[in-house]
Amino acid sequence: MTGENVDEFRIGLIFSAAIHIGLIAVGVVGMPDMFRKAPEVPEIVSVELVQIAEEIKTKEQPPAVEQPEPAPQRAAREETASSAEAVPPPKAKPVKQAKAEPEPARELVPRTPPRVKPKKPSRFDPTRLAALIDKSIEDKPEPKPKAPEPTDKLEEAVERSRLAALQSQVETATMQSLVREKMRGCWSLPAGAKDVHKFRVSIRLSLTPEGRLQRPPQIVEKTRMYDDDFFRVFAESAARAAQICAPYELPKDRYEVWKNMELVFDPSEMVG
Amino acid sequence: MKKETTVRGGLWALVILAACGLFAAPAHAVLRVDINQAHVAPLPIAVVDLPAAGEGVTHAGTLAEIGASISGVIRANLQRSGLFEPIDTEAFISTPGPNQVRPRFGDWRAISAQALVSGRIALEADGRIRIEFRLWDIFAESQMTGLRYLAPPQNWRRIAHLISDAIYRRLTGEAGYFDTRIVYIAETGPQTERVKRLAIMDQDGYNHRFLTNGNDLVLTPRFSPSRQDITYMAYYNDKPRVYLYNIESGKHEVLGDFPNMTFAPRFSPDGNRVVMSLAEDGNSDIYAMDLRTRRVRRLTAHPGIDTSPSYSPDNRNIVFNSDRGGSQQLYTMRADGSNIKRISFGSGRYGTPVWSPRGDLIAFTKIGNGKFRIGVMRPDGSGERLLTDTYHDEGPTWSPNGRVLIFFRQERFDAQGRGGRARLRSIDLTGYNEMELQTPFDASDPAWSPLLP
Repeated sequence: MTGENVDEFRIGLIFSAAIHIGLIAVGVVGMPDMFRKAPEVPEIVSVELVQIAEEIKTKEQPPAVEQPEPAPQRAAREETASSAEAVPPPKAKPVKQAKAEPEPARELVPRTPPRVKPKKPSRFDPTRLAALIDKSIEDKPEPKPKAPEPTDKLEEAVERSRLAALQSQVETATMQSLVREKMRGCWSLPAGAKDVHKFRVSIRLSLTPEGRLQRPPQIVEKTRMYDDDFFRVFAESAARAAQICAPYELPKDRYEVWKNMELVFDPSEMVG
Repeated sequence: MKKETTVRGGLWALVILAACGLFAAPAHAVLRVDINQAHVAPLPIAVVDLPAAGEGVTHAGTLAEIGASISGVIRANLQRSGLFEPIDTEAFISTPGPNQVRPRFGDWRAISAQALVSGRIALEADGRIRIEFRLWDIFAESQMTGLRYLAPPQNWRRIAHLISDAIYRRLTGEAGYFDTRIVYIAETGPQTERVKRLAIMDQDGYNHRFLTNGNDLVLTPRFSPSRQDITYMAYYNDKPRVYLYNIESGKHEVLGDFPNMTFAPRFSPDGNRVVMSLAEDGNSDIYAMDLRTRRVRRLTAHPGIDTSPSYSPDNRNIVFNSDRGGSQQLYTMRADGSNIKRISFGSGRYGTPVWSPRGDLIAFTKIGNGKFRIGVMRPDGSGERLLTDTYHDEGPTWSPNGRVLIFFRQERFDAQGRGGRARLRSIDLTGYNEMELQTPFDASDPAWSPLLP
């Protein structure tokens, strides 16, 4: 290798490195946005919905048809829900989390399943999804215990992360019950429709930090809408409820947790 | 060497970071919430008075008048169903003109409308009216359905019912029931000399008329599900007989020349058969007659009293009541009379079972505790629910979509034998939205027609 060659090689290397870094930078900064769909109707939705939500609220208080049993039932349900979620996870779990270094893989988990789901609504297994999503939420605030340090420190870190996970679980449960409580006033069930208690529909929401809808609610089981008139009406009632209920008043500092919501409307326990 | 490792490590870190950027950034946590609680409230819907395109005048009034009348009938229909709450037209911020297709959704959201019916009415060169309507989803800002009708001006009421049915179908997923009629027994005169006439009216009480003159006692009218025929029982020469009556032609015909009394007739859902009871020596059994061949087939043979048969919508099964088990209870069997099963086991007696056109329920009259009450149960006898609880409710009949029941209610007589007012009432199968149907006289034994052809 002559000196010139080395120089040329170096220049080439620098160029190559610069271009690669440029590419990577584009990947980091630009690509995520490319996947995001352009928001469709942000301004129309936001302003007027406030009014409606309030009007509906005041309006629906008196006619709210008497539902004798549901009230206690609901209390019981919520109790079970929150208690179920508040139960401290088995000891083994946080240890695993602390060890689980490769963050990218974990972050990937919650996203891919929902992406695939819409195509096969029949295979949709919401219970599993819930488990995945909840886990991901727990994971979030976890301190990055990147320290291969003495064992007592490790234990401390584990304990801290366990507490953090617990706390975030409680927060999640609180947010869930806030949404659930509000939605009760917004969702008008097409009662008496044939087999309505057998239906179940998932609605996806993307929210602004103010809790408004970034775009119209997305019905996940879209294809079924065209096959089944009853299901279509049911799904539309859920999508409408999601719009009526906006804006959602949720803790601003937890925006990352609730900016994407999936509401699963399931009346199976309401009608006999 | 060490330096190299650091550089390489740094590069790897970069690559990993890039990978994170590529794949992880679009993936954020999703907060999942199960919604298991709702309320039941009618859907707020705005129905504008259909604006007239041009200043046409017909023998039924001006276009604007007809447009407003049609919208009025639609609002009344939707309101009566209990599933919708038409918004007062006074509250409207803007009303779209005859040439405006897309409504200003914000104006309708502001008055809490969730659906909007707009459209227009115009006069054709041949004297018919052309009516267009569109149903809008206010939140999704999209058209849900839209149809156009051409009709002679005097038929505007029928058009209003058809539009109501289209709206109902799109917003509930079920067929409507507004373009239908109700046949019933109109009763006049003192209790001792009651005159009973067959009468018919639109489901909203309009176009009322009598079909018989009251000379013979008539009972239990039933509509053919596929034709505009009615079957009923009448006493002729003191003998009860099952008759067939065609609304279009006005022709009456005796069904089968049986030596004994026949009663409780009912059509099969395909309209090809009539099933009824035939009494012989104090015992009654169930028979089916094929209307095309007039051949009769005996379905039950039991010393108990079997009566009030009603087909399932698929024509395969029949529900009836029988006292074969000691007290009057409901039984089901196959349409050929096999596989008889008792389905009612509650306290009290059960009568007048009617299979829902939707197939999921059987309505009945329950007799017990000094009361006649209307209830429903599933065809296997589970899920029994009583919908009414007064002194005397009887004779349920289903709307063609299996969503609403009409029955008649008789009030108590006082000590002097006065009172005893009898009226038709409707109720949603959820037990809500009970109301009286307007009839000029006392009314009993209602039967709901299928959707008009």
